[in-house]
Amino acid sequence: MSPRTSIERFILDEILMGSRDSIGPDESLLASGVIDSLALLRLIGFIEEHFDVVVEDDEVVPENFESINVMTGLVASKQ
Amino acid sequence: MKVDVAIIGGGPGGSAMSMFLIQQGISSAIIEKEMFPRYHIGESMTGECGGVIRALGLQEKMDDPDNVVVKHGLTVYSTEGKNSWYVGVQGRDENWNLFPQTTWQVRRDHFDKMMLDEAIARGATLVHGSATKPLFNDDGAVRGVSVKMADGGMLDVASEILVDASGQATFLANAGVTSTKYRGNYDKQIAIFSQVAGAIRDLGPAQGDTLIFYKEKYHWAWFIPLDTEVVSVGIVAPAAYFLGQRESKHDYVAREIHEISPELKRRIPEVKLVEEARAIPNYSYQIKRFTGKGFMCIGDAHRFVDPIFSFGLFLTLKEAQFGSGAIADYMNGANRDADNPFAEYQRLIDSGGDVFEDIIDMFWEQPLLFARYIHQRYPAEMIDILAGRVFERQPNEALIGARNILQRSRSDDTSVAPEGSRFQKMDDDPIRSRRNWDGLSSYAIDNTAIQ
Ligand SMILES: Cc1cc2nc3c(=O)[nH]c(=O)nc-3n(C[C@H](O)[C@H](O)[C@H](O)COP(=O)(O)OP(=O)(O)OC[C@H]3O[C@@H](n4cnc5c(N)ncnc54)[C@H](O)[C@@H]3O)c2cc1C
Repeated sequence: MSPRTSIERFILDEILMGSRDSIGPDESLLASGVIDSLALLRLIGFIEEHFDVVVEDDEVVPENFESINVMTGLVASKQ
Repeated sequence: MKVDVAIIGGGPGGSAMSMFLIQQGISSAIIEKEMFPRYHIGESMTGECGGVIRALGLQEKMDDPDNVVVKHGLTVYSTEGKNSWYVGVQGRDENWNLFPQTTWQVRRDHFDKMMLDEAIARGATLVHGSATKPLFNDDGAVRGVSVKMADGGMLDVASEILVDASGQATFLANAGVTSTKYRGNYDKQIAIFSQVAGAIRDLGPAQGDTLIFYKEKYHWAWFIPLDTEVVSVGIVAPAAYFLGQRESKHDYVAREIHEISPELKRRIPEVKLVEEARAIPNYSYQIKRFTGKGFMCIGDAHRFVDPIFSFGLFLTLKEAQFGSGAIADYMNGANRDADNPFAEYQRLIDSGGDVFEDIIDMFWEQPLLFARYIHQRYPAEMIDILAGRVFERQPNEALIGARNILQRSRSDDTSVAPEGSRFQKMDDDPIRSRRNWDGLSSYAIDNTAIQ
């Protein structure tokens, strides 16, 4: 699975619990309320574990997780 | 009248100071202007606060279901009230392993009276009157205080040490004995609070817990159970917001309870205030040099940051404990010739206050990272700080992380302004943690504006 698809799957299955079928790569997730702050923490935990990266303290800001594309960019910059 | 130690203020700090001194064989007089019981805000305790109460031998006095509620933890609800995070009260055993603990919520009229009565029963002298001005020796050392007695007369109380435990009245700072009183980071906030009956609680142990409702930056509410029926509720927000509503305190509290969070509205469907609605603005300040020859401040008399995590009672009680030790050393001949016989106490107390301040600032400046620390990165270290373990094993990893992200340095050298704090002039360098005052920078408010 590509990073994009793994992140999308995690959000669809674990956060939205199947209430939607897909998420656009540039769809705004936080501003629109698709993901709230506690769900975001779970997502960060998933990203760290799945991609074996560490999200540093100064990266834990909403802007870095606004869309799936932004998140894959963050992951890529760490690999 | 001549005593070893004269204490201004018979609040929890003053009464605890007196009792800790008695434990060390030192007599004291407590000067208190009010007749107790009297209303006071500040009802929720941290875990370590319970530890100080036990050290005073008052555990069994807390077994009083009409006036004391057992608290197991703190829940913070996020905006919209859909999500929450919980931090349980936990202690540390002798091997520094965490274990579940409880602490208390108290009615302050009752708790403060219990403390003062107990101090008197153990030997403190109560002087019922208002401290008016400090008295000085020729060399400038404080040697006591003048008191306007409740019955109208004047009384000079001569002391070896004058302890200022006058709370937000900051008696010695106002008299110019300490260094300047700085405004704190939350100085433009106002708290409006009351009590409600019949609120919906959780079942089981959580029924006594503190709930915090976060609406947006600097706008939140507390929910603190005081008995089986009554809950203390307070709204904290920028003062400009409150004034902009043009409402009475009563109407403001009633409306905010229903607007601040759907979860708070669910818990208080019908708002029935059973206490007057009161206000406290400008509660955030710090005095850097709060000890010196012949005097010492404890508790709110020298510093208060923000009520969000209920650190106030713990600090004033703990400072009474540490301060009494420093006074006992002094009475036994230590540091007699020092410029400041209590410099070590002062350094210790500020180091603990700094931990709280930095963690509170992190909560407001970096809420997402704060939640990550609690849940993922440093849960145990965050539990330690929220419980009040700030005078031992600090800085811990969570605090170091918080200071890094706030770009804040702290040192023991009190002549150097800590970087990233309000002690730097605001106009040359906008202070990180004050950047977002929502256009309030030129806004000033004083007590008289709030009716
Ligand atoms: C909105 C708000 C909410 C808070 N909530 C909490 C909370 O949930 N938990 C918590 O732990 N803390 C809380 N606090 C903080 C808490 O109220 C204080 O930290 C605590 O009361 C300090 O105790 P103290 O003994 O130092 O002073 P105080 O309790 O204020 O006692 C000072 C005493 O000195 C007397 N006095 C003052 N001037 C004179 C004078 N000139 N002569 C004689 N007597 C005098 C006063 O009458 C008073 O009895 C809150 C504070 C605020 C502003």
